[in-house]
Amino acid sequence: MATMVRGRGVTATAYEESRPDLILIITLGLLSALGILMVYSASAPRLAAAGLSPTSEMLRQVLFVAIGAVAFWVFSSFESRTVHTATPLVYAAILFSLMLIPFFGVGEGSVRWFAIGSYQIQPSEWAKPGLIIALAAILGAGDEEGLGTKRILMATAAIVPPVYLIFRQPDLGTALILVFIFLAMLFAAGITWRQTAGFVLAGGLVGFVAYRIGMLSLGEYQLNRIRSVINPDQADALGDGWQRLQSEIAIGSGGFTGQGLFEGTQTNLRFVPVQSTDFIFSAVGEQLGFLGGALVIALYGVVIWRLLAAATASPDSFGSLVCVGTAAFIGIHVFVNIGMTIGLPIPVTGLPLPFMSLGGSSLVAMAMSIGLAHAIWLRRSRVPARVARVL
Amino acid sequence: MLIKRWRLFAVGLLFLALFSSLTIRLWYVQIAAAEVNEERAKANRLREVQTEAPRGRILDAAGRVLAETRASRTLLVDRRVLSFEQEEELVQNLSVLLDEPQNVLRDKFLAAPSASRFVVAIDVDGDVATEVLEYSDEFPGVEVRLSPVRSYLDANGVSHVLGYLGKPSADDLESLSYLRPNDDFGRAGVEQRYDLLLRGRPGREIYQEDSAGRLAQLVAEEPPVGGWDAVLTIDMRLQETVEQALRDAIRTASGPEADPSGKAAAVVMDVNDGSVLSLVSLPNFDPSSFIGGIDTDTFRDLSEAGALFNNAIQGLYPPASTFKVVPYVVAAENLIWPEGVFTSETIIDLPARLTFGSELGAGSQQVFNDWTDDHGLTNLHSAIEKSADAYFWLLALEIWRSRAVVDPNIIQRTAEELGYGAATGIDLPAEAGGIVPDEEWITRSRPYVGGDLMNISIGQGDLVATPLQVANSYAALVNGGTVYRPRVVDRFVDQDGEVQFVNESDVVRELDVSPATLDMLTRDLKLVTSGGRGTARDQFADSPIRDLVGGKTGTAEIPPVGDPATTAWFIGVAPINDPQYVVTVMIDRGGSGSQTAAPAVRTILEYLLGGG
Repeated sequence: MATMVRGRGVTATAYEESRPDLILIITLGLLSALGILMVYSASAPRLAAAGLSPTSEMLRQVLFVAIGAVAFWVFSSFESRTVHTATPLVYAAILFSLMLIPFFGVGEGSVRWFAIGSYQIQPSEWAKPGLIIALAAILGAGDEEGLGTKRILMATAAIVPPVYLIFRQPDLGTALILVFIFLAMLFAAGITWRQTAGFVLAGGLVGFVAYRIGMLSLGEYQLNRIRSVINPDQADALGDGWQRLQSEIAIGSGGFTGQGLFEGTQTNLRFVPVQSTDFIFSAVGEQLGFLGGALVIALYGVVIWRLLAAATASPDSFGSLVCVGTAAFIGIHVFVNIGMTIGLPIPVTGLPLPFMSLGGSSLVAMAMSIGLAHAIWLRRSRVPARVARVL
Repeated sequence: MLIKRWRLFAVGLLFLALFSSLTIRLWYVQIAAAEVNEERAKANRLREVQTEAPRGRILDAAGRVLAETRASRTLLVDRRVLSFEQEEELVQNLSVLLDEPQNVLRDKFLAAPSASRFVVAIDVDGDVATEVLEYSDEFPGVEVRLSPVRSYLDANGVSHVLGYLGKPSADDLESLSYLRPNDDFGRAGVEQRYDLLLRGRPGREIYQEDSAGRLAQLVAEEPPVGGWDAVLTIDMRLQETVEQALRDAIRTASGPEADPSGKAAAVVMDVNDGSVLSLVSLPNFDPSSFIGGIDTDTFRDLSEAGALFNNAIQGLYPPASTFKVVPYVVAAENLIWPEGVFTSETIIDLPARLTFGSELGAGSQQVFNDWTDDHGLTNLHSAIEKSADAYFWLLALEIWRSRAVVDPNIIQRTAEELGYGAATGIDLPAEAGGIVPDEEWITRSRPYVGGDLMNISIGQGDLVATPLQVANSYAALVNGGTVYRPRVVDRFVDQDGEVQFVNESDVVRELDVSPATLDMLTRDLKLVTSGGRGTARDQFADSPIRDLVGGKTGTAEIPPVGDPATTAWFIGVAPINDPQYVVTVMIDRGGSGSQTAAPAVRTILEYLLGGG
């Protein structure tokens, strides 16, 4: 079938007819716009109090959203085949940059960033879309019925080195996210019950050995984080537990309809640290209440729905798996981030809320990933549109 | 191979479940648990945090800003929200951020009370502030705020009037109940004297505390009210002229009696209301060096140089010949004259040297040498003009001889009327009162003898006064006899420009001296600068304002006797026909009053009268 659309000119003309997923694009636009608004409401009072321009954080977010939009548009235009071909190169680049981090990276406590001017680039963010296509390429190849054990082993071999490097930064959160994405893609790719049992057994064994020889030891910083989750009220010395408690108080004060936009930031939010980044949802909860919070969750639900719809519409399993991986990528961020702000026991912090938290790397990485999924949606027809119409 | 649809459906269901659980939890937190939270919040205690008010400005008489309060981007650390381990980590992070050694920062933490919010850095630049806000999880308990910080504009010349700010000691905190440990408050000058009016009213923020005593919620807020602006009577242009004149005088002081210490003082007063138009003391200091805490070395250097000592109101010096106007008034008012003199016009031939037997009493100085041996024929007027010691010695001798019928302390009583021996009451802290050694004062340590009275009559002996006292006494003598309380602050103005407080000029007393005597004295002061034998004649000879001024020289011997250096004084009065200004200059160890101090006064008067 693919041979039918090999000619470049033909491809372009034919696929132009495929309509972009307006529901997805509008939803992402709404989330991004709300994010900009929330970043402003959460940052302006503090910036003004500090004698800085109150719009400075918001304007940075506007810039990030603009870059994200461009990334989405560019990646939407990529041929699935081109992406597939580039996979080995992308994988190598990710592994390489993660290996460079211990030598050239910056960061206090945890070394995750490259500094470029006043901006910081976090390679583990780019690793997420990169590893999604790498896994999709491995798991989606082949014509055999079901997923071969060999493929599972290959995929595992591909995912373990970058995950381990990220774990060592240390960035437990991102490492766990990658494992989750991997598992979701394994499931979608068709792992059988038997293979699952074997995978869990082998994984557990390897993990146990690695732990015993000290490769998985957790730092005091990570242990604190876990302790604070177990008992936030007693987490006096642990800033993490306190942040979460404050966030929960802030959101609780929102009630059903919220305190109103730009209201309440002087009160509770002053006590929620990193409120424009990791705790942006506490601004939503406090100002817009349950209605606003539930709407945001529903909007993310729409995004997941559209990504899975793209997975269903994909003409090949590579494309489907890219879409599923992206859905898992976005979905788990939403769950972990919002869960953390409303007091669910989640031992991971530092994950942004997709498209809303202030931050460039993760927003652009997510836009790229969704762009790839959208590219697959755009090329969903197995028959070129014009041909289909003629038929 | 294609992906099975049911597997995609299952992934969708998983997220539906996860997102549903988020929504349920959100419902619980915002709706179901809201009442529980509210109950819990009510049980929490409230805590009040004060916010600093911007300190009022200090302006000169022409409205030039001498001290203002600018908004400085400040890093505050709230120790209430920090555990010990967090503090240690915070010190390390701040050390990197602020590029300051850890031990310096740790000292700041230790100096702050354990449950306080304190300033860890002022004048932080925007990048640092952005970093703190952006990585706030690495800087727990750190707040970035625009806080009011004092700033002085090129204020060295007027530093002794302005004073400076500092942190209160334990004693200060006890005596000044409105102060909190981290407050800045005035430690000298106008800053100290009017601290309450300048500081304004701090704002209040009332927070709810959580069970662990951490600030959890802002309940109420009351913004601070800025302090009032002080408008001084000082004119900064004049002040600069005066300071320069003093520095020139110190630099050019010459002669065998000149050995300048660098200390000097000048006071320019408006004689008609006691306003101090200029008050300079050298050496001076930069009030800005106290902002944000002065380091001990700088403070020690300033103290050792005497730069924190206001010579104009704290320096006690023998007024020497400038004091002769006091026995002058005593003579003219009480008609007590040297032997053989019957009126102010009576001329006697003065000896260069007076020698006594037992007449002055046991232990008295017996030999008195005038500063020059060619006074010759002299009456009261020329005694002032030529500054003839012997005339006033003979006058004192006459008082001593008639002590059975005349109050032997009559010179001292008159001096006290003029404000000697007690603080003038100027609105600056720590003013010295000086000493007028009367019989009672002297007999505390030794018998009161004739020599004491004779020395006092020429402003020596145990008599000491501040330059301000000398200035104020001349002001009263030339304004028709009113002693004012000198003042450096005219009024206070609030933020809207409304006058809130006027520091009225106070009359301390009216002198019981006839206008005729005062007029005569004023005319005789003119002889000093323009008379044929005036002691400051040469210094004013070519001045365009020569005919508009009068004055009096003084050259004080410095105890203990034997030190050849003398302290130079000159008091200038202008315009002499209707006096408005009194200019007093004192140059410590500056040599002769006419040589060193008079030129400085000339420069100042020429500026004041527009002749310079």
